[in-house]
Amino acid sequence: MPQDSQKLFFILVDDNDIDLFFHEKLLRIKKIADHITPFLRAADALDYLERFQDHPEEYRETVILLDIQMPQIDGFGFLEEFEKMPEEVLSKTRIFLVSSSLDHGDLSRGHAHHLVSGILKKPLNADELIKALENTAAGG
Amino acid sequence: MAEEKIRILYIDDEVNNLHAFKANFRRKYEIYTASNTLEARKTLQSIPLHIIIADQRMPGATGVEFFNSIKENYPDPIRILLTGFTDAEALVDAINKGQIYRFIRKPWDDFDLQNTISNAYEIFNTRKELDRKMDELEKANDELSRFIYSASHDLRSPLMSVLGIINLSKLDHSITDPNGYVAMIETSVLKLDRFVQKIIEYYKNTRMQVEYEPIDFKVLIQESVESAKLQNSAIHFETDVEQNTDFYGDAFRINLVLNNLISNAMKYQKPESEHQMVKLKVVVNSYKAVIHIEDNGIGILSEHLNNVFKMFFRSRTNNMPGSGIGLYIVKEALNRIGGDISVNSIFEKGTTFVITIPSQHATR
Repeated sequence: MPQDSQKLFFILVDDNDIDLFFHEKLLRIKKIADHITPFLRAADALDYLERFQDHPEEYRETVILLDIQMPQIDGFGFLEEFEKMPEEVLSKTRIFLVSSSLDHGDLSRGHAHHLVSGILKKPLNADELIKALENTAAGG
Repeated sequence: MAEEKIRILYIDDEVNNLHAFKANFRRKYEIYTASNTLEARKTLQSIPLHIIIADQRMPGATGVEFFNSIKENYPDPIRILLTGFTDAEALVDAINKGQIYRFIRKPWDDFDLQNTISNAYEIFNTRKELDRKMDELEKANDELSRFIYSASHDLRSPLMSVLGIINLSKLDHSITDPNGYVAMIETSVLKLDRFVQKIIEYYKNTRMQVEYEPIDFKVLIQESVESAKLQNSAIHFETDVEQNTDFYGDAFRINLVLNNLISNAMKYQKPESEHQMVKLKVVVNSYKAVIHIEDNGIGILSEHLNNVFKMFFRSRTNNMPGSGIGLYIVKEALNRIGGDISVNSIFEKGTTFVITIPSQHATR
């Protein structure tokens, strides 16, 4: 499976620099992705994605690992903004929330969100991520 | 509070009465007077009053009618009716409806009126105090909810980072660790995390509203057993669920009870045994569900049986890791949903917990 997923771009959004480092390392060691763009702030990730607003054709299939609790713009705030992207971008994106939260409200809100493909618990487990990617692969 | 003078508004169309009242009480109280309801309303708008005294017979509106009309916008002042007539029915009605606190006959007796006023003021203060306590309580509850939230995130989040980094060190073999220190760190972090999770469970149980929904015990038990098997595949599970009728219960708490007891049954196994077993039996009728959770583990000494549901109690006869909070949470959760638990155990043979949970179909 990893050979398929290798074509994937990853965007990581997490305000915890240790988790961000860990996620990036894990993705590389497990060869889950070859291109990773990490962001410590949701706003920076949104700025980066902004460029595809007018050029959705340049957007490649992307997986976003998104932390829920972040200062300023949190995971749900990110989703709210990201939702405004062109349909071409949305359809090429899979978003997984990655959280240590046990808060029922957060989790059910995440599950209910139409842009969220799944919720992964921290510490991120590579096997679980690979399984989640397989399950949500839209036939290539 | 002791410095504050009692603020009284007295309404009477007989101006002589107003003067007499003022003359008698102006040293004791802060007195406002009005000869008609229009004036009275003006005072109400600008002065935070403690007590309002109104004459019953006034042109335009009776005292009871006046009280009725201001009750909504000025609910706080205590209302006292002054009347020279004994039209009992109107009075009884007004008192019963809670529109007035007391009525005083005209002409009033100074001592009697003074007594009534100080009693009324006491009631005013008691109500205020009650309101204040309610506000405080709401605030405290609010803070507790926020505490649960931050405990579930802020405490766990760094622990999860540590675990992540430990996993990473295993993957890239970047740490030379011949003495297994990293594994010890991992064990301790996992233990701390379990304890944090238990505390969160405890607070969720006390804080979350009890909500009843249809419960399918077959599904519930199956899910619990499946997640338990992931943690320890060596243990043999036997399940037997008899449910031919609808059952309504609080899914969160029933799950919490089941998962804690299953996890205990798995934890207190005999380490050397090759036939580690956990048996789950559920019988549901339309009134209640009876659940047996049986293991063939190390058992509990009979002298400890009475203490196992106490907070932070741990049996000294075992060296098992534990915080002593699991069974306490189980008991508390059952209390909240009207359930019951009993335990039978033979030391070195095994333990059986029996839970009874009433169905809440009546609320549907």
